Amino acid sequence: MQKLLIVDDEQPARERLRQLVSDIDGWEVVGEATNGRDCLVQASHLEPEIVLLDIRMNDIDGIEAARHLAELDRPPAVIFTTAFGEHALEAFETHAVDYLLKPIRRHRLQEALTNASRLTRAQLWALQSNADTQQERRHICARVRDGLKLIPIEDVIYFQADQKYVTVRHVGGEVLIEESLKSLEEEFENRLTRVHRNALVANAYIEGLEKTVEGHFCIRMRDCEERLNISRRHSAAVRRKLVGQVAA
Amino acid sequence: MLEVLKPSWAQLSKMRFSTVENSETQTHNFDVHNLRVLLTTVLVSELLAVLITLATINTLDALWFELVVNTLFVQTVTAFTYLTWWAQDKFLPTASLTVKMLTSYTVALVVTAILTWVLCAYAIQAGIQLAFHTPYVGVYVVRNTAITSIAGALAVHYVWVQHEWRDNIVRENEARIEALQARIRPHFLFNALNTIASLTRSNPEAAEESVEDLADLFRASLKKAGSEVRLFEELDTCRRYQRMEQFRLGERLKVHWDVDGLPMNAKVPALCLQPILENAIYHGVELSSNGGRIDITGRRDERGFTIEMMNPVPVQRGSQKHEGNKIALDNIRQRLELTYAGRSKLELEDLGDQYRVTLWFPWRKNDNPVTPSHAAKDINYAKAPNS
Repeated sequence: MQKLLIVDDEQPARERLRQLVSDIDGWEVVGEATNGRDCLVQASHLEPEIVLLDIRMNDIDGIEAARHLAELDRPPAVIFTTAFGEHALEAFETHAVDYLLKPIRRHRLQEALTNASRLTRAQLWALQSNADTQQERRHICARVRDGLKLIPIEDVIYFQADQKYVTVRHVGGEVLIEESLKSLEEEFENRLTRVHRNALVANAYIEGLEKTVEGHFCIRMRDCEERLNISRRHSAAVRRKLVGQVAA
Repeated sequence: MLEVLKPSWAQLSKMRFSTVENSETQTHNFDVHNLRVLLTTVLVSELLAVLITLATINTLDALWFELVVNTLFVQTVTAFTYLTWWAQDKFLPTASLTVKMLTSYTVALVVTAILTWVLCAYAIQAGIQLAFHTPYVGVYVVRNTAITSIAGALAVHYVWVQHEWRDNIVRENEARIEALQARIRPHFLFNALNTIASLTRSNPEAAEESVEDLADLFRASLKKAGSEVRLFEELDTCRRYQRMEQFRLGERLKVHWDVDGLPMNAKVPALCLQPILENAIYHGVELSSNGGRIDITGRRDERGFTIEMMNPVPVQRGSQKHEGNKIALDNIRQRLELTYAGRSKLELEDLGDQYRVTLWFPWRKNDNPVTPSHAAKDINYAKAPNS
């Protein structure tokens, strides 16, 4: 039996999928999640082969959830379900991402289950950058010992790149992720400021500049003891931004 | 001999062709269209040649000679005009219809003038007798050019009308679809069908009820534009809608009705409330993690009555969420305007974590603010559906 996780915030929709799957041999519904967050928790415990993922959901929507799912050790294949016309469907077509339209037909579901495959990075990116879902993720997802940890983007104080990882310093502590600073900078360009080749700081947490004994500038942040160095190359831009903030 | 008119006819059919193309955008059966247009053009040109011939000959003997001369002339002018049109279509696809028509029209006139000049000068010199007889080349030129300009003008007019007509059809259909979509959101329809598909097995009675509700909702939405219903009918539609959404959203959707004070028999524009409730659910409840409560409150006073709908605003998502909202609300506003001519009002307020829509309805002649029968109706009604 292959394992399947159903994610939908509507009870009748989940029930219908369950009915359909029970008519198809070889598949077993191991869990039901009611939103994206729940989906990530369940997926990391149940390790389903396939996740049937509704797109329009409260809290974390299907597309963001899919991006986080891809971070799992054994990422499941994802089949999206939707009732109607999210603009993103064009991107789905273009990038050959599988989706099912509700009410779902049994033979379409069967086909999709047979052909399901994991989403590639390119597909995920294409979905995310498409209209109708918010452009930026609302959470940063990190792999921790017992699954995935979601950090609301508003809680992130700074990102600092190391050799291989990026450290996410947030209100509740620190985690490591495997994304590049460059892609983070592009995705959250309105929230983050580059202060150094290896660091991005959340605008909302910037408190001020300090000058060190050696004559360098560093940045002071709210809710955070550490100071980050500002490289000479970025100092002018950072200061301009700070002045702008004060003026505003 | 003057055959000139037909260029414009050619133009005309061409244009017709080109508007067809525009509306279908794809040109993969271009050749078929092209051929048909070409044949039509040639045929119309030929009819023109016959017409001119019949109008000018004095004796039956001249018929065949005149017909041949006129045919050659008209078809030549047509060919040039047609080519001009075709070349513009092909090489200047962005040129406007007006530009294309002007160019083709001008070419038709110029070709007519030159061709007449050359041929008639030759005919006069060679002593060939034409049915329309004059010793001056200039007279031939003026006459033929006049014929071309009149026939051309007719053709241009025809193409224009045709074009406008097509445009109108397209626009009308768009408007109709938009209006329909403003009433029933496809998102709702497909989710409702999905819910019904699910209920069919687990709760056939509920499924049956849902199908009935859906049918009623659709009937309400297919009412003729501008029709009016009694307020209690509109509220019924809202409750049906709520019931359908309730199956889908379960606990997450709570609607609190406080409408007993409203004049249930007052006439209001059909679907003036349901889309607002739909918006409130779509934007306010569906995307909140814990769902939300919608408050519907109705009041009346001596000047009229008010209905207020308040829904929570989920924390996330900024920009695009108001778009669908606006279409439906604009639509309602327009219909209120048509019905009450400035005496009603629809107001939107963003209160931060709540969103409030308020509708004011003025009393109208037959509404009669307080009568016992209304009051009785209100009470019955208030008990009827679920809430």
